[in-house]
Amino acid sequence: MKLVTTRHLFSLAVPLFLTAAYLAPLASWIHNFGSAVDSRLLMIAPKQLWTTIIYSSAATAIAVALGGALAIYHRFLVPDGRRWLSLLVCLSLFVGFIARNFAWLAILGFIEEGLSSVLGVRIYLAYSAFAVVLVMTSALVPLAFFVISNGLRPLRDEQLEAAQVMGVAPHQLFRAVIVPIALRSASLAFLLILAIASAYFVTPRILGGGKVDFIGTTAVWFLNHGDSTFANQLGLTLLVPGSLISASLALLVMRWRGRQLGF
Amino acid sequence: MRRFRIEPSAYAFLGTSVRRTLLLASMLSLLWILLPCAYLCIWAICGTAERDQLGVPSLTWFADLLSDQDWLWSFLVSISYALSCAAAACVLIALFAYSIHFASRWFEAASGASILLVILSPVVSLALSYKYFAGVCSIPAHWAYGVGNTLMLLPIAYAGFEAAQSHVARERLQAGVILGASHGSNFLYVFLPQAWRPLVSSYILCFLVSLDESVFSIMLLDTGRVPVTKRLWDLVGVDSTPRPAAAAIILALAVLLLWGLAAVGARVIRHSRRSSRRKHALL
Repeated sequence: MKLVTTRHLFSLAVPLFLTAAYLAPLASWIHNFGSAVDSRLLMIAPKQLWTTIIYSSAATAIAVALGGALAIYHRFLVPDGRRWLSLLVCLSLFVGFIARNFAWLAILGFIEEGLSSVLGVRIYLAYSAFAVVLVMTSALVPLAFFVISNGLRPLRDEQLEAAQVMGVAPHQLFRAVIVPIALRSASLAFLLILAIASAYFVTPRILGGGKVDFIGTTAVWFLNHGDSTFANQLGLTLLVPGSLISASLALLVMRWRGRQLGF
Repeated sequence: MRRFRIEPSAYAFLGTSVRRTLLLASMLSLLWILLPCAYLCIWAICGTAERDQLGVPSLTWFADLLSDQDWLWSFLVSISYALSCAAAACVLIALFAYSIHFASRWFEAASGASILLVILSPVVSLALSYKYFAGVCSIPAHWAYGVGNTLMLLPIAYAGFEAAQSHVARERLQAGVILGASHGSNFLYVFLPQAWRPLVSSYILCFLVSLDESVFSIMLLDTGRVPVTKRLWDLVGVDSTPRPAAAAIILALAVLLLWGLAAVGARVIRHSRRSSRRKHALL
């Protein structure tokens, strides 16, 4: 009897890859940097962790709200319109994230100039917390759109027609049928995007102007300035809230999958 | 604008106020997303060496980049990493998607959740762990970058496949095995023909995400032939010319060209298959 069959090899491919490429580097890294705590960490990490969580949560919440509205609108478009809207959203991904940050810097500069010539007072938009949230949101809306659009697939016209036949008014129908289905995927999108947003360091570096430093930005700064031990310890600090979000999302997915599979 | 009209049946479902609010929010979102793309196009064509100054339209900045050997290598490196890492991630997920049809439900649920965990671990922490691990194990930086990139694409490929699992009929796969097909041939001749559509869409998504990967490239790659994202990062605070815009547009055009070629290739294959089928029918 063969102990290892082709099927076993197929099923083990992903777990083996995850062990070698995910668990092994992470475990050895935590083992090496997890025990010693630098005194600077207690001064820097809590404030920056707070900044990271607050700004990434704000950007994520706005992105999910806008992406959700876009996804619901997309759901009710004519088929041709759906294709065009998806293409337009995809188009933004083509030009790259760092280049879009450069573009936003210039756009905010133009808006600043326009506002100052109209109002007569200089209003600083670039290099501020506002700019960081604005640009992060712009990058995160497409992700929210794709996740929520996917989650809206179970919404069938028959459901809506049935509710309509039963005499439900349009605004009630939106609140009682469409929003609950969208909320399920929106909560998934929120956690998923929050995890991604909390690790952003490009936008705070380019548009924060040193006023909004995420943990990632500071870790990269220390890494570039030769203090890799402290950079690694900062990275490790980010892993803790990241893991909490991961665990809650994993539970959510397990529950959702369990319900689907009939556990 | 007429393309973006709502289906007539949806007018009754949504009502006027909800429809208008959705339209307003959607237009705001689209503007928010597309404004930087539009500006990059303008900046690349009309930009001058002076910061935020627009001048006469020209293709100088494109020519400048295309005549630079380092930039040309960066475009090539970015595209080849994106092609290969997306392929690796999709192959792994295809094998996994096949095997779960024969595995227990717990294995399916647990493996799915563990794949999703990857994307939720802060990518900065992961990249730092890769930098440390590659140093300790003497793994070349480019290899570490390739593996890290593939790892980050795994959940995306999984999400694409997961949404399309209904394309694959479990009964057919099990019938293939019962009738004596090996798992290898069952995968190739029964599973892949059913799953190629989600596979292609997952590949496209993975390719686009991989092309934009910046954290691993910034942290792991220092010198030599680096992807465009790393080169753009090195320009932050140093270069205020429209080079980043021109680089982004060239990369986007290269992707569109590849996409077009792939679409033409797929059409040619489909046409030749159809004509050979017709030929067989005539015989």
